[in-house]
Amino acid sequence: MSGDNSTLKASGECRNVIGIWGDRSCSELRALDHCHNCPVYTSLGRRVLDQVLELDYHNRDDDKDTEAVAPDQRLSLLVLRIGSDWLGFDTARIREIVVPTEPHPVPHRLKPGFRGLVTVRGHIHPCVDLGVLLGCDSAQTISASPRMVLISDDSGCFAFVADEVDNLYVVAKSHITAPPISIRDATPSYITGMVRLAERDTAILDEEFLLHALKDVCQ
Amino acid sequence: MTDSSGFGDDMMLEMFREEAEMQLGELSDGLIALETSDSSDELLERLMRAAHSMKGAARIMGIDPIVKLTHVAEDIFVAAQRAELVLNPAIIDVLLEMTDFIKAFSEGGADLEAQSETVSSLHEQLSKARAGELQSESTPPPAAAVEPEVQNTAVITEPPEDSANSPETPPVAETLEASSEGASRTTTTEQRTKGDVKSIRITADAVERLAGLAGEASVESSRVESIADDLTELRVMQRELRKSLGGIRDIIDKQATNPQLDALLQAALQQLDVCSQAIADHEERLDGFTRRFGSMANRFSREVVTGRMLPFSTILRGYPRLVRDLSKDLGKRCRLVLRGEDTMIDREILDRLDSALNHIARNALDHGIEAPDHRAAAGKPEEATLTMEAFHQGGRLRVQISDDGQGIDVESLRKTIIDRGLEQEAIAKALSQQEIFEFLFLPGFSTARQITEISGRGVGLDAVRSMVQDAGGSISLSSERGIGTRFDLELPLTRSVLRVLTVMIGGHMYAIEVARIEYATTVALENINTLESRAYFEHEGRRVALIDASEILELQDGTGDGQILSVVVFKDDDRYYGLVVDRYLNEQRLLVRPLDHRLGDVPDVAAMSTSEDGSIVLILDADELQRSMDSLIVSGRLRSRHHSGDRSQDSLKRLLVVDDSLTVREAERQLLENAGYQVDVAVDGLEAWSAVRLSDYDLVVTDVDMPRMTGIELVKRVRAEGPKRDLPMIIVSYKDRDEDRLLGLEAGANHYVSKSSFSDSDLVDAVYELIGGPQR
Repeated sequence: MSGDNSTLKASGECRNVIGIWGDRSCSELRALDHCHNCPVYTSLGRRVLDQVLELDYHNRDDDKDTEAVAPDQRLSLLVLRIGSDWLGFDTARIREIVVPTEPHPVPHRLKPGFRGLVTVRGHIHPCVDLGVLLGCDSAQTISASPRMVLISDDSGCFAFVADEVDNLYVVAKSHITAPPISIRDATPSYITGMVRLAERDTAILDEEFLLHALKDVCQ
Repeated sequence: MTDSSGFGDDMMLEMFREEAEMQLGELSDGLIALETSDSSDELLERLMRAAHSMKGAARIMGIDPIVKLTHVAEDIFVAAQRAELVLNPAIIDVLLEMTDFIKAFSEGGADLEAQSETVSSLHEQLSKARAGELQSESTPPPAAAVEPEVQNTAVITEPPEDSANSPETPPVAETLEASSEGASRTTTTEQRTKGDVKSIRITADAVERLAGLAGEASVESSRVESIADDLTELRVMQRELRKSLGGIRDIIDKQATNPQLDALLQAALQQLDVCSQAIADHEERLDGFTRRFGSMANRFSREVVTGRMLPFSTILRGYPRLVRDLSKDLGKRCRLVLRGEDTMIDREILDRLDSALNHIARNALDHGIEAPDHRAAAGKPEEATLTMEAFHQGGRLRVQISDDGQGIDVESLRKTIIDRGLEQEAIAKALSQQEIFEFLFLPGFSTARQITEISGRGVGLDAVRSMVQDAGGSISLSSERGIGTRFDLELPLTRSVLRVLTVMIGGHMYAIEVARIEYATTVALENINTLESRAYFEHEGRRVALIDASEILELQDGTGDGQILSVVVFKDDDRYYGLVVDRYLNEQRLLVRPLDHRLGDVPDVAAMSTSEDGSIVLILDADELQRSMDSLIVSGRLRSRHHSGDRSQDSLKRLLVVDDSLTVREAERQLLENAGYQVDVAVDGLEAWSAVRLSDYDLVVTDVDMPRMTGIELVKRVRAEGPKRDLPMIIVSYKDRDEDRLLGLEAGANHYVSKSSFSDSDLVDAVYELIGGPQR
C-alpha cells in the first residue's frame, strides 16, 4: 500500500484517492485531520504556483500557424459540447462558467427551449436549453461534468447548460470552412462555419443570430 | 440662487446639477447624432424632451436666463419635428453652445448676472435660428460675442490667449468647458467642507450587486448554522457513547475481574468527558459567531435596502418656490399644502416622481387654477389650494396631487377630440368621462390654446404617464367641473421592500404580498366539497372556491401533502378565492426587483427577488391572479385563458413591423393590431433579418432608413437568401420620389407606401391586398 501511495503522493492525486476527497484511507489523515494540513498538499500548491508557463501555452491545441496571423484575423473560441455536437463560442461573449443550478420555472412559459431563471452570485438570468434551440442530439450522451455557461450581450446574460466545457482555442479565420450544405440550407441555421480543433469538427456559431434567438425564446 | 447658504438649497443645487448633467448629456449626444445622421423623429423627440426638462429644472431653481434659452431651444426642436425648420450645422452649433454654456453654469455656479451679455447674445442667436435666419454658409462667429464676456467672469482661471491670436474661429465650447472645469474644482472642495450630508452618485447596478452580495452573506451565515447543528449532533452521539461505556463499566464493576481493564475504562471515560467539554466549548463559540455574523449579514441587507430610500420631502423642496413664482407670473394666488413628507420612497421612483410632479403641478397652476376674480365670482376663496400627498397603501406607494380649480371641461374636450378626428363623432359622444380623460394622456394632445413657457405643449401628460409606467405604476385622473382636479399616481414599491408570504408551488418558491392576502389556512381533504365540478370549502360560513396554483400558473404539479391542503385566501368584493399551494414557508421582507425585461410580459407575475436563502422567488401579482382565478371559476376551464401563450393566437396572421423610430413602430403596430393581426416589432433591418429567419411571418412592414441594415437591404436579403423568398414585404418611407419608390420595388418589395401621405387605411389596405384578412 505504501508503495502505491508514494506515486500517488508524487502526482498530488492522493488527496482525491485516499485523502479527504477520496476514501480517506490515508494513514496520515488520522493525525492531520485534513489534507490542508499535509505537507504533500502544501508542496503541490507550491508546484502550481511555481510552474513555468510554456511560452506558447495559449497555442497548445490550437490551430497551428496562428502566431503568424494578424490579431484581427484570429478568433478566440470557447469550445464546449452539447449532446454530441462540439460548438465554438466567441470568447468575448462568455461571461462566466459555473456549476449548474436548478432553474426556477416561470409561470405560463412552456416553450421547449426555455428553462426558467437561475441565480448566479445574486444576479438573476434567464436559462435556455441550447440543445433544443440548436437541435442538438442530446438524448444519447450522459454528462459527467456539466457546466452552466453565461453568454452576454448588451441586454444582459443568458445561461445555458453545456454537457462539457473543453477549452479556449485561437484559430485563424482563414482556416474556417463553410458549413456543410445540409446545414446551410436548414432554417434556422446558427452555424457560420466549421473549424477542425483537437481532431474534432467544431461548429462556429453566429452569435448575433443566436442571441436574437435566445431573446426570442425567453419572450 | 447664489446665496445657497441653507442645507436645503445645497441639496436643491445638487439635484439641479444631477438633472442638468443628465439632460445636457442627452442634448449634446442628440445634437451630435443630428450632425452625423438624418434627423429621426425619435431623436428630435428626445431632444425636445431634454430641452423641456432642462427648462423645468431651471424654472424650479428660478434661473430665468436658462429658462429663456431652453425655451427657444425647445421651440426649435418642435419646429424641426413639424418639418418647419431644418436643423443646419449653424443651428446645431448654437444649440451646442447653449448646452455648453448651461453646463459651465451648472457645474461652476457662475454668476449669471455678470454674463447677461453672453445670455442675450445666445438668446439672439437662438431666436434667429428659430426664425430660420441662421444659415450654414455664413456662420457668424458667435465666439466674438461670447468671448469677451467669458474673459470677464470670475470663474475663468486663464484667459484664452490663443483664441485671440488664432486666425480661425476659436472653438467656444472648448474654452467654456475648460473654464468650467477649473471652476467646478474649486466649488466642489468648498461644498465638501460646507455640507452636512454628503451624497455620492452610485449606479442602480452597483446597489443591485451589493444587495446580491448582502443576500449571499446571509446565505453563508445560515450555512455556519448547519455546522453548529452538526456539532450538536456529535455531542448527542458522544452522550450515547458515554452511556454505552457506562454500561460496560457497570458490568465490569459487578464482575470485578481485571483492575487494569477498570483503569483503562476509567481513563477512556475521562477522555470522553474532556472531548465532550471541548465540543461544547466550540459549539458555544461557534454559536456566538453565527449570531454575530448573522445579525451583521442582516444589517448589511437592511442597510443596502434602506440606502435606496429617501423621504418624499427630498423632492418637495423646490415646489413652494415653483408654486409661488408661477402663480405670480400667472397672476394667480395659490397655497401649496404638502402631506406625507416623511414617506420613504425608493430613490429610483423618487427621481421619476419628481419630473412627473413637476409637470402636473405646472399643469394645475396653468390650466386648473383660476384667476382670483374668477374664483371670487364662483364663490370660492381667492387663494387656491394645491395639495401634494404621498403615503403607503397596501404595499404600494400612492401619490395624489389635487387642486381646487375649475376642473376639466369634459364637453369641450369631447369636441376637441371630434374636431381633431381622433375618434368618430358617434363614438366620441358615447365615451364616458373617464374615457375622455384618457385622451389627455395621448402624445401631442394638448388643450392649451396658447403655447406658453409654463406648460401646454402636450409634452406634459403623455410624458408623465410614460414616466409613471416605466416605474411600473399607473396614473389616473379625476375631475369635477368647478370643484377641482386630482391626479392619482399609484407606484409599486418596486426595487424597494415588500412584505410577502413565501410559498412553494410545483417545488419552487413564490411570494405573495401579505397586504393582498385575506388569510392563509390549511384545509383537510374531507372538508372539501365540489359544486359544478369546482372544489370549495367553507370557512366562517363563507364559501371559498379552491384553485390549484400550479394549474393556474401552468406549472408542474406540486408536491403538497395529499391529506391537508395549504390554502392562501384572497378576497375580491364579496368573493373568496383559495389558492392551493404545496406549502407555506414563512413571512419575509424581500428586496423587489423588476422581472427580467427579456421575459416580456409574464401573466400573474409582478416581480422577482431572491429569498433569505439566496434562491429565486417570483412575486405573484395578486390583482392579476384574482382576475385569472375569477375567469377560471366563471368559465370553469383553464386552458381557454387568453394568457396561455401563442396557441390561442395561432389562427391569426403574424406580421413583423420594422422601424427604428419608436413612435412610428408603435403607431404601425397599433394600427395593424386594431385591424386584427398579430404584430411583432424589430428595431432595425438586422434584427428583422434574424426575426424573419426564426419565426414564420405572413408579411413584413419595413422602414427604409435604419441603422445597421436598411429596409432596402433587408428586402434584398430576404429575396436572395433563405427559404422565405416570397414573403410579402411592404416598404413605408418618407421618401416618395419616383426613384425611391422604384428602388424599393426593384429590391423586391411588394408595395411602397409613403409616410407623408400616410393614412391609416393605406397601410391596412396594402396589407389586406397582399395577404387578406387577419384570420388564417
